[in-house]
Amino acid sequence: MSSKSPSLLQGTLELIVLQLLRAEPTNGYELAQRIQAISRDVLSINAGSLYPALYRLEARDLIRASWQESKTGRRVKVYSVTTAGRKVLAEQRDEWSRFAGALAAILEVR
Amino acid sequence: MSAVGRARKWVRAVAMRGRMEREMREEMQAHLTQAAERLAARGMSEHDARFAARREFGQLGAIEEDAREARGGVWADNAAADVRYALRYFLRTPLTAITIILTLALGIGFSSAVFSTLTGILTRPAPGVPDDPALVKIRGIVGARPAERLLSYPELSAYAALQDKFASVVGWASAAVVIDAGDRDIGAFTARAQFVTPNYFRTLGIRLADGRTFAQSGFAELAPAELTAVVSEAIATERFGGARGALGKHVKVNDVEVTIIGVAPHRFAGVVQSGETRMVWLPLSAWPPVANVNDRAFTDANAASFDAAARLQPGVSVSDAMAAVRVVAARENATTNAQATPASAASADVVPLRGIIEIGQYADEMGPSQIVFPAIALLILLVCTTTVSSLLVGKAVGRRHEIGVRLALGASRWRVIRQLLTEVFILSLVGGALGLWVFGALLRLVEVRNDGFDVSPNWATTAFMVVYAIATATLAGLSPALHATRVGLSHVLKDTSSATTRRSRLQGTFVIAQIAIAQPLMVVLAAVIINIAGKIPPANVVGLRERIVVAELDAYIGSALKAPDRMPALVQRIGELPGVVSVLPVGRGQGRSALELSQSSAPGDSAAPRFRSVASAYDVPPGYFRTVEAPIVRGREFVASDTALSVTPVIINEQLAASLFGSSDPIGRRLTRALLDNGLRDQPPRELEVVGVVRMETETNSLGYPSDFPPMFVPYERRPADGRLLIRTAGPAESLIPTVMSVVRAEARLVPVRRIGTLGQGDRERRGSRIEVAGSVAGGGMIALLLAAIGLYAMVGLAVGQRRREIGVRVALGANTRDVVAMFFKGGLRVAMVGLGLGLPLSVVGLAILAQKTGMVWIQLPVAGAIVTTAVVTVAALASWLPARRAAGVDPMVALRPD
Repeated sequence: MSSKSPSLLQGTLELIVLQLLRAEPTNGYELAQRIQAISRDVLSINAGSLYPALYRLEARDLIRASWQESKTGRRVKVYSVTTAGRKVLAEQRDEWSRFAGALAAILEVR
Repeated sequence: MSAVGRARKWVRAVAMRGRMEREMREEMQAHLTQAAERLAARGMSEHDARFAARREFGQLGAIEEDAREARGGVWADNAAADVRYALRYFLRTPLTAITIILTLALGIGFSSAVFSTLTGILTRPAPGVPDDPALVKIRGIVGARPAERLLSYPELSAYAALQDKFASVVGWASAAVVIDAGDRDIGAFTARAQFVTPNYFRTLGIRLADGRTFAQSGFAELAPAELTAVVSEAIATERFGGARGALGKHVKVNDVEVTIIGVAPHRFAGVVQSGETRMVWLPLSAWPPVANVNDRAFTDANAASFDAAARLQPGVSVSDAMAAVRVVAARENATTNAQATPASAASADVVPLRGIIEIGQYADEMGPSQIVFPAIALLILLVCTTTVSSLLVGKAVGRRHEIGVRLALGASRWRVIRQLLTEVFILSLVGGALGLWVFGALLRLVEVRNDGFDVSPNWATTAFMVVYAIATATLAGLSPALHATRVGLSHVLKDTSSATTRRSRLQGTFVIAQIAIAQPLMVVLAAVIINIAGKIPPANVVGLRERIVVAELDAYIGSALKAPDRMPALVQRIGELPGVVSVLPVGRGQGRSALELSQSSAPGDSAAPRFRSVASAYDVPPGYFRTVEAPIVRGREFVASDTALSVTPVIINEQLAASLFGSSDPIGRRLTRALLDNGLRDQPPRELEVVGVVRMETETNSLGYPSDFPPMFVPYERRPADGRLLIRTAGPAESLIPTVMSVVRAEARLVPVRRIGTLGQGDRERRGSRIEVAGSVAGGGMIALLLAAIGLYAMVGLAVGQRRREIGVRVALGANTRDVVAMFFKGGLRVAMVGLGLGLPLSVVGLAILAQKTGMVWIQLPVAGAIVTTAVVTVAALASWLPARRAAGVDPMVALRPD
């Protein structure tokens, strides 16, 4: 585990990355595009946040990378989720649901 | 992540750093290209698309830095950068780097060798013996101020019976033996035999290099005689060309045929040092036939022949065993030594089994020589560390400008310190590697000269070297690094020297201390060299000394076997050889004697004589002076009847005659003589009558070392064990030596030739060994001076570097460059002089100790002092002048230019 306590954003970004990579292995650029598209431009992740997050996840063995040929014939580094990554993703999703549920409950208070 | 996983990651980060960097760049480049393509597809021009993609991506360098950090292993990148930077810096200042490396190599090499030797002496068992805390020596001691004594077989058996304390006890009786390997060319040779209880090798855990140990195995297995032997590596290599060649060979030990069944491990020569490398171990049952001892040796409690060692029972401490051994020893003492006073009472103790048992067991066994060795090592260490430190300080201060700029550009102080420390660690790494080589060379030297202790590197030595190298690097590097980085930027860029005067003063102190230390070291070394040089025999030996052979035969061992004395027949046979003029048996010398003119021998005059001269006494037969062509200038030579006279006749040399009798006639005068050598002091003084005066400055007509004292001669009376022969030939004698050897082998097969050679060969050998000693001593002194000179050079160089601006001002104001150079030169010289002055009392003390220890004549010491002072001043002048000259090269235009 990293010695730094992950900030909310960082934790959220990792959750997003793991979730999307589990759905479909892809490269850094495509991943950024997909986040933007799926979130309907609400979330725009710049490269300065995305690549350190990817490298951190890779260093923790939660995702792994391999060089593959893209649809346009370019050599790209494609990331996919490892078994450990799936486990962490499940945990984080549960936690997020609990958190979101709690937050929703609080916001219901009138 | 687990620790293993993390470590794996680190290793990967270091090992695959280049590939990971490449891949990261390629990945980000791919990202940019894809983004640009997307933008171009929306209708942007290619150039605009690329530009927009870059803007969208962000600052590439910063992102890469963040990504690297996220990936882990940043420290590896930083370390690599530090190393690259350090190497670039060393290439810019190669001289400083090389000097520091050499200084460290010497320091680490020397102190590790000293450490290894000391631990070898003090804590390690003899070579070939396992380092096992359960192994102990049972040591017989006698008297209140204990001296070591041998044990009787009954006493040894009593210790072996202490089975609750000792798992196993071994004993051995030692004797010199003659071994005849049946080699017609070499003949018999002398070796040291140990007749060991058959459990010896197994109990001590000594693994033979080859072959097996004895068939008998029990402690007390004494019959029948097993005639087998284990020989030392030295015998196996010298006589049989190696272990394989020795195994199975039948040799005659004291004329008893014995089969070699094993070869001892490398350098093993018994568990306690004896100084002998030709060793042979036989089972104790072979002792009676080989060493000619009878049954009494096993039953008589007063026949002491044995040493003992043992393996402790598990869980038994040395002090437990000691208590039990003391009880047994007291019982033995009560039966065999009933009238013992405290001064003669026998006891015993138990000590860990070391190569050299004596040292450190009793306080008074530690002589001053054991302190001198580590003291020298400490001096070397001190000199090396101060030199490295002052070089580093100089280097760091010289780089204040560079460091100031780096700090100003945002480098953290820790980053710069880390950089400086990296440099020092690289230097000490290389220095340490070179030091390892120095260490190895020194160890080989020590190993060749000493047989009793193990100096081969072990974990303790290795740990010492590593810790020493790291400690030197940290100590010598940290302080300059801290100081260098404390300097404020504004100070640096203004080039004020206020921040550095304190530092250079500190360095001055270092250099003064170094010279103060190096000087007495060198004075003492020079005195030793002069003393040795004075004794080197001249190289131009011609004529007579090539026509005299001295043969030394080990006749006394043969006599111990009660064999008939072969020497008279041998003298006759050699005398009959063609080319031999005469053969004289001569004595082995009688050591130092104090001489005094006899009083008017009044009876009852008990006043101790006041001795006037010291001489070295030699016993020589009639015809000796004719043989060595030393003219008798007064009186007569010895005649055969001289040994029967009631007052011993003496022949003295001219110098001794002059010092004893002045100009009056010495013939017929009487002298009182007392023996001075250890063990002979208690003999009462004897009277001598001068019968002749010989012209001979020093006695050099034997293969022994010439003495510092004038020679005196007394008649030689041959004893059966004597074996020294003087053979005078008509022509060059060297070619006759093989013939003499074969005569000895034919005539006296069991009399080994210990040494044989012409006087000329002896001179050359002596000369060689003295030059070797003088050379190595001189080398040590040179290294000390070199280190001091390096320190001085660094100091003056630093002063010039620091005061460039001041020099510029002076030159701009019209100062002569020669005056400026002179100013720095004088500064360096002044420091050297202070060091010399402080070292003077130390030198005097060193010389006094030396004079007292070696009996070296004081007159040589001022000469040595003068030579060394001149040398130090010359070197100091050179070490100051070289860097001072640089001041002349300072261009005021450059020095005064604002940064």
